[in-house]
Parts: sequence; C-alpha cells; structure tokens
Amino acid sequence: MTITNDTDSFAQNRAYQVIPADLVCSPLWVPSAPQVVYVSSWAGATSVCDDEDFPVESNGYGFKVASGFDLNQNLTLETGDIETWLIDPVDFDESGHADAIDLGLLVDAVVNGDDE
Amino acid sequence: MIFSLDVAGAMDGSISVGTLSESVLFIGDGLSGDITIADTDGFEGSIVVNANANADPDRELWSGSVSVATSSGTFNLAPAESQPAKAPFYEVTSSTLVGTVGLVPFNFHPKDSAPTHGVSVVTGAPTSVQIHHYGPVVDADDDLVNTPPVRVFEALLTLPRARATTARRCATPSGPKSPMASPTKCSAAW
Repeated sequence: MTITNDTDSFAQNRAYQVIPADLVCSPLWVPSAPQVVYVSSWAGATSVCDDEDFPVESNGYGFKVASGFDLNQNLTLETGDIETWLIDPVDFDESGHADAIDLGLLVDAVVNGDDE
Repeated sequence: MIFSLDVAGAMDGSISVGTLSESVLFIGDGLSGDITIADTDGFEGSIVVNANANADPDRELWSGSVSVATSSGTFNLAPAESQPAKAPFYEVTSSTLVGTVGLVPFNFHPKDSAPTHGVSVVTGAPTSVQIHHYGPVVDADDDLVNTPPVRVFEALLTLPRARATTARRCATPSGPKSPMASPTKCSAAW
C-alpha cells in the first residue's frame, strides 16, 4: 500500500503513526477477509492530550522525520546545530548563499522550535 | 507449475519441497510443524498460516518453522529464532526471501516498508510512504470515501517531548481533497 504525498502531508520535524482503519486481508486469499492488524509498539506519535481523535492504540507503523534545522541529525534542535552550521553553513532560505539570515532562521528554530 | 495447496486445518507434520515457484500453500489453522523449502534462490511462492482466519487470532498459531534457503543463506523462520528470522513478524526482506510467509491477519513488514518502521528520516520529508504486508491486503470499502483504509496521525517533534497537533483522516484518491496524505487504493501487491 502506498500513501502518496500532497501539498500538506508529510513534513519535517514530525512523527507519523499509521493505523489500519478499513484495511482487510484480501478475500482472494482469506475468504472471510479479516481486518488487518498492526502489531508493533510505536510511541513516536504518542499524545499527551486527551484528543479523542488521537490514536489510543500503541500499535502501528510509524516513523519520524527530522527537522531540516537538525544539522547534526540527533533529532534535537539545540546549540550543536548552530555549531554545525558555523562549520558547514546551510542556505535555508534558498537565496543562493548561506548568510546571516540563514543563521538567524536556525537560531530562531533552536530557541522557539521548528513549528512549520 | 503454479498451484494452490490447501491444508484444511492445522499443520503439525513436516514437509520438504524443492520449490514453491509462485504457488500458494494455505494452512487453514496453525502451523506447528516444519516446512523446508530447498530452492537456493529463495522461493517465489507464498505460505498463509491461519487462512481460515480464526476468530481469536494469536501469533502463537505459528509455532512451527519454515526453513528457506536463499542466496544470502538459509533462514529458519520460527518464533524461537532471533531477528531477522523471528516468526511471525520476521525481518528478512522480500528482496532476500523473494516469497512470503504470512500469519492471518497480516501485519505490516517493518523492514520492507519505506521508510523502515521506527526509523528517523534525516533526508527530508518523504514524498511517499509504502507499507508492505506479509500478505495481500485491500481496502474493505473501496468506494466509500469516508472509510479510508488507514488513518495517519501526526505529532510535532517538539522538545523535550512530542505533543499532539492534529489528527487528520486520510481520504481515498476519489474523495474530497484532504489536507493529509491520501492513500492510494490498496492492491493485491504488498
């Protein structure tokens, strides 16, 4: 099964969890077509609120997408990313060159979070 | 020769076959016996355990073993083994095993799926997600846009811990435009 991207789907700095809703085993192979069950612990998208729309199941397929500002790829936005940028500057705003504006974006992300 | 072999109930004996080609062996109930497939190129066929879909499925329905010779060595798929051969949710990928052995109801394959289950993607947001299963799956209500095959949940990776943002339902491609990823129609491919 393929989940294709659109203009507002998978993004950086997010965790995703996929849970079967109406997915069944093919009746061509299993005539009674039982519901597919995902069995694997995945706490990457665990909710800390009581939103009823949020999954209560702990089982599911999931993955995380690191922030684009997470330059040292440790899944944390912290000063180490700034140190990494100082060694190897990145052009975040795609202006054609890495400059103080890019550094400002990075510092803002480290201080305030990368809530795209 | 492609064939379909049905074992009506449980299989507790031992069999050894040269190859399954693209054939399917259906075991109606549990597998407590041992199956050996000698084809050194993997096996292109499939084995379905609990094909009768017992009402109270349990992973212990697969207590036996399925030994498969591949170009990467022989894998003895059994509960007592460690990964990548630990049944029923073994991590040997389809590129190595070629065929598949699946316990009903089918789970997703953590290593065949892309991105790999539980991984942290550091190369940017994926443009698509492929979830592979241990057997063929389909959308139960293919024509109903309000009953998507899967639901995708999203949480922000905000330190020190993730917090919930929104839970958005998927929509089938034929449905209204969704702000969330739209799973394509499920096919017999997995």
